[in-house]
Amino acid sequence: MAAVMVQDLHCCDLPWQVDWQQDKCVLCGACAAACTVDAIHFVASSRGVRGAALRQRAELARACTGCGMCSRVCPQNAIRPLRNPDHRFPLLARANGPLKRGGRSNLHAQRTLDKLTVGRISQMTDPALDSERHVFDLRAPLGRVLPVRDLPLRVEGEALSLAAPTPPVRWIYPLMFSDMSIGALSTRAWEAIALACAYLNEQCHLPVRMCSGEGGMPGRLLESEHLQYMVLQIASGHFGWNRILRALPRMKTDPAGVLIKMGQGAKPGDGGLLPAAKVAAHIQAIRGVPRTTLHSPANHQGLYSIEEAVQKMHLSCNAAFGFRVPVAIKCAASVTSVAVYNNLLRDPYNICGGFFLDGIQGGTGAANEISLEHTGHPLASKLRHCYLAAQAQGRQGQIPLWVGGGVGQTGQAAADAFKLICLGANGVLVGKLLIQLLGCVGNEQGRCNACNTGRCPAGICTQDMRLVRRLDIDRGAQAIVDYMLAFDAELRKLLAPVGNTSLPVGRADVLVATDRAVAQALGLDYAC
Amino acid sequence: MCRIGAIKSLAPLPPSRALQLMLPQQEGHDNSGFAMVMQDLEGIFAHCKDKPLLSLACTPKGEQLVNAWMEEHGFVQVAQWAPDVNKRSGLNIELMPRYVFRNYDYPEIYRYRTEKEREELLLDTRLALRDLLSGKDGGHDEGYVYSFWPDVLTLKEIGDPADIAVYFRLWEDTGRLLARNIVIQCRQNTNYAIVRYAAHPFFLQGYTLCANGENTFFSRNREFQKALHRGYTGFESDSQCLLYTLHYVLRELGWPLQYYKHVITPLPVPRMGQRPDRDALVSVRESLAHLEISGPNAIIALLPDGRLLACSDAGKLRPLVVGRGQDMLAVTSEVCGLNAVFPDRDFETDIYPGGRDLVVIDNGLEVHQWRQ
Amino acid sequence: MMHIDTLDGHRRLSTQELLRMVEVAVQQGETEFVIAASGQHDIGGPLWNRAGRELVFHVRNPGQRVGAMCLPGTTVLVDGPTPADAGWLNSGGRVIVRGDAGDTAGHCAAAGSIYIAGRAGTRTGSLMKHDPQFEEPSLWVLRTVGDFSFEFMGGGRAVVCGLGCADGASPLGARPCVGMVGGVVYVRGQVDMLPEDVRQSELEASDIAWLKPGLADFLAAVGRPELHAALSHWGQWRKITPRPFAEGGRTVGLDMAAFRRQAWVQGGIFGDVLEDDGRVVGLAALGEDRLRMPVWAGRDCRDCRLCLKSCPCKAIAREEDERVGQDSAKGIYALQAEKCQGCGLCAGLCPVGAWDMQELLGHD
Repeated sequence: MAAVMVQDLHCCDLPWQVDWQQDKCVLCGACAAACTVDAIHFVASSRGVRGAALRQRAELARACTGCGMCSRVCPQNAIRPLRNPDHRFPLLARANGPLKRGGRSNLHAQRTLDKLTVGRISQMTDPALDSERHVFDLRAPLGRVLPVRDLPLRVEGEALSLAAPTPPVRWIYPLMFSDMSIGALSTRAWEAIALACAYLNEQCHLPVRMCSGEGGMPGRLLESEHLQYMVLQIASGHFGWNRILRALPRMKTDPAGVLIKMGQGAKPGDGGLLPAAKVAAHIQAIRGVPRTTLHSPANHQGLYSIEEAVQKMHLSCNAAFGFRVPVAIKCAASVTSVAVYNNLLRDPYNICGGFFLDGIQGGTGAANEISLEHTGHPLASKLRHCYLAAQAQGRQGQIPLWVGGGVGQTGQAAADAFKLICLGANGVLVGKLLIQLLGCVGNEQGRCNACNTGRCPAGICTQDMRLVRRLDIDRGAQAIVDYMLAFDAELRKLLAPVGNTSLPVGRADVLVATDRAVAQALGLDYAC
Repeated sequence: MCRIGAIKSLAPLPPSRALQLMLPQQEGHDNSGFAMVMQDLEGIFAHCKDKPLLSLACTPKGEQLVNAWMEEHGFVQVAQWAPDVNKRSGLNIELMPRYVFRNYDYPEIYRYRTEKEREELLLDTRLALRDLLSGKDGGHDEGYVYSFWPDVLTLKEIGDPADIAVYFRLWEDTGRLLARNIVIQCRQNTNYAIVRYAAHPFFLQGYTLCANGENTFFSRNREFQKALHRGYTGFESDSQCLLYTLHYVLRELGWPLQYYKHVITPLPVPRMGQRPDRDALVSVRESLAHLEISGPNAIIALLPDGRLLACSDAGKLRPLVVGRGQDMLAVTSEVCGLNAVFPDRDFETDIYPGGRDLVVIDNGLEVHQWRQ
Repeated sequence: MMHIDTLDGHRRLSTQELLRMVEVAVQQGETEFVIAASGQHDIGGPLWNRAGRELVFHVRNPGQRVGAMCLPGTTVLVDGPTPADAGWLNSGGRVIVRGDAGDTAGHCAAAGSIYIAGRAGTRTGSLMKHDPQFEEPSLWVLRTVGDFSFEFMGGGRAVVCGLGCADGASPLGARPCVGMVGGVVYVRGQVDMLPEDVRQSELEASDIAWLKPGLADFLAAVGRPELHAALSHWGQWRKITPRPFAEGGRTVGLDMAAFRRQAWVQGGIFGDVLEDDGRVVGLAALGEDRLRMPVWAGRDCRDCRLCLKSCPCKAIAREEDERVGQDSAKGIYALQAEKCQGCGLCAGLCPVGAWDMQELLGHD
């Protein structure tokens, strides 16, 4: 028997240890069949069940991710992954270069929003409303809103009319499906989200919009009426845009908007990467590229100053759709966000239709862990500061603020959305929440987060049809629809007690903070 | 809760008619104060209708400060009325030492200035006097300047409105105080500090407004309005926002009257539907989103030209009714007030504005009604 | 009969003073009051005569909540219009308003009858209810009611005669009957903006049998008997009732699969670039959906049958032919791929390594 050396890798070095109870096991093999990372295998053992035992592999490349598909599939409840607090994974796994993974920041899972409560309740001074029977007006603008003095209004008799066109503004639901690209997501996952979006619009009268992500658009969708629900994203790689442009003459309708992605909250300053192995045939077709590793650089080549970023990029995207479609920009929240927002607000050509701010708790399909954990800026204070900067100039509301990054992280998306709206957001974005509704089991405690490996056990972040077939589009879409309907009811349940029938954008006076530091940073009352 | 009222008449009326309108509505307020704006004056002010009238309550020191300031800035006093007060004991009223109602002539250099320039001067003067008496930071307490405008008189005080009326002899129809338009309210702001400036009606450059309500978008309105106009100041009451928006929409933007309603209670975008002015309405809503009000509100306003306006929040959460008597019309919170002043009217012609209605009464007492 | 004038010049009796006077008088046996009010609240209830005699109030210019909390045996007659909450929480009295009533007339009325000879305001009839221990409440309005009427109505009968209602306008105002769960609203005229959880239908004979005498009583009480014929064209009437409980619940649109078939891009949005037959597979899938597969290497096979016996899917077959024991490299055991889940038990247990596991995931 070979000696065991202390430097040999052992399962106790890995973040998850598989707990197998041989007395319950019936050797059906389902756990090993279901495991996408091949973390477990059977061996002959005189002490096992009928001569067999299950073993976890002590290999970095096959380290258990804790996804728990084994316990899900086990008819005997005989197996489960256990979190190993003493693991050495971050040390050992860097043997092959920087550590990569998907998911969200695990270090910065702080929940500022949970330290806020809706503390200003309408009672005697004014009546609370009833969330069921009162009429609520839950829509938010996307597009450049002009200062009232700049509106080309003409008084004609007793009516006002517009004497010239104004920048396009869409009035949409204050929650947008965030940008997750075709490529990052499987075809079924992306389609399920798009399908849910269409369903919400056409069957539930919720005008929810979905951002395409940076991986282009399916040609069939570009040429369908459902395009009106889509916000088309352009990022540094410009993937799929040649095909979007070629489809222009055949489009039946305008898209809801265009979103220029400058940065991503989960990995600001770190570009995207789609390894050649994931560039399946359909991705080649949609993005218009050969099979190769695809880089989205961290910066847009050709934009070297904010003036260029605003002018060149916005102008081109506005021009592409005849100035009929609002064009917005998404940046990772940063110390510099207020400066960026000021520049946008002061842009004399009124071509920026929205400032999307992505906080550090945003998710990603693949990032260097160093970026995921150690770069980025929490959302709440930066949103508040942007709103207050606009307010100080009398420009609040002129460029709608849409924010994302951790919205719905605890499942309470309506509460998160409402609080962010009170802090100044016009609307919020959810991404991770959607894939969690589809079946993603990843979390901020290091579970799964294998989005970068192509081995997503839920068939969401993979292009391998063996896994993609695990995902039921209809059930997934239905789960999103059900959640959104509950979200809508819950949002009204928060509007009603503060006595508002429309969104209280910037109305921070309804919030109190139960943490002094948070209260001070956001300019709220401290309550205890 | 408070109760508000306004009365508009072809012939000048004494304040007692407005008091009568409010008397049956007493259970709707808390007897904590009294405030009244009279416009289109007769009686003792009949001969100087074009001279700006300063309405002031102050200390002797405050009066000296005002005198010096006005003189220094070239205003010439042309008339003064000091009310002959009833100093009966036992009145529940928090008196100021002096009540000054004084007409001035414009400074010489304004003789050939435009109307608009004069109006700006009057506002600047009122704001300057306010700072003079309160201190820039509100640290002084030498007096309150409520209005400075031709043909407009404002009286506000803290205390039981009935006692305040006794003190100023408002029940006695002496013929001295008469006006064709009176806007009245019988309550101090009791939600927060008792401050004379917090009592409705509020006045700005010919616009008078009072509201029975709670504007839950107060902070949104206030922060937006601060940057719009130097006259949008004070904010002692959330209802001041309603006045400032009225002033902004009508005077600063010059929009037709019904757009006031579109700004404070905009239609949901899908409901703007196929209206011919849809695009304008959407733009207005977008650009002035921060002037939208929320919460229950009934609003009565008096415009510089004498037209009277009434409307409420979109959910119509507070009472409001318009009724017609002989050569006069009244708008008030409760119909029992109308029954007191116009007991024999045809009540079937009373108007109860709904949440989407705007009612305007012109100087010929004709009623115009718009629906959003 | 007791006369009370609440105004002496501008000196006014407060509500408290007036109600105390009335209470004392009732206790002393007074049963009929004529009150010249000036906005005092709560005139008319809840009061009762100890000997069970009728109480009658003739009121001019009351304030809010006239006839509120009224008990059986009390009649309140208001001459002229009245502000909000007339007949609020009526518990058996007869409240007659010969004029308009303000907002929330009949709010929470649970018994008795409320007759209004004019209009009634916003949120009229909200939360009316019927306690089965007592007779059901009724609310009659000659003209129209304001917006948001009959919200959350839970019982009783409301009748809106729609007299003088403008052409095309709804006598019930905007958004009536939201959250209505019980009772019935009879209305003469066209109603719109009804929520989905109530239904509008024609009158039945039993409705007419109830309405006909009730209308006569109502019109007599408010002094307008001449209108009876004009209001009795029952074809002009509708009744609004909540949908029965079983019919209720959230209105569901198309189910998702049907929506995808009918309204979505035919063949799926990726149908032109990717073949996807739409199959959905479980976590331990078989055949081409396996993540891994065993490959027969055959080395040193001792024909121990462990793989065959341990295979949970019965995917391994022993080839019972002449080659057995002669040419092991050609295979003693064969895999039926369509049955195999790729769990690797066969490979793991084989004492000689005759099966190799091959990764399929990530390989086209």
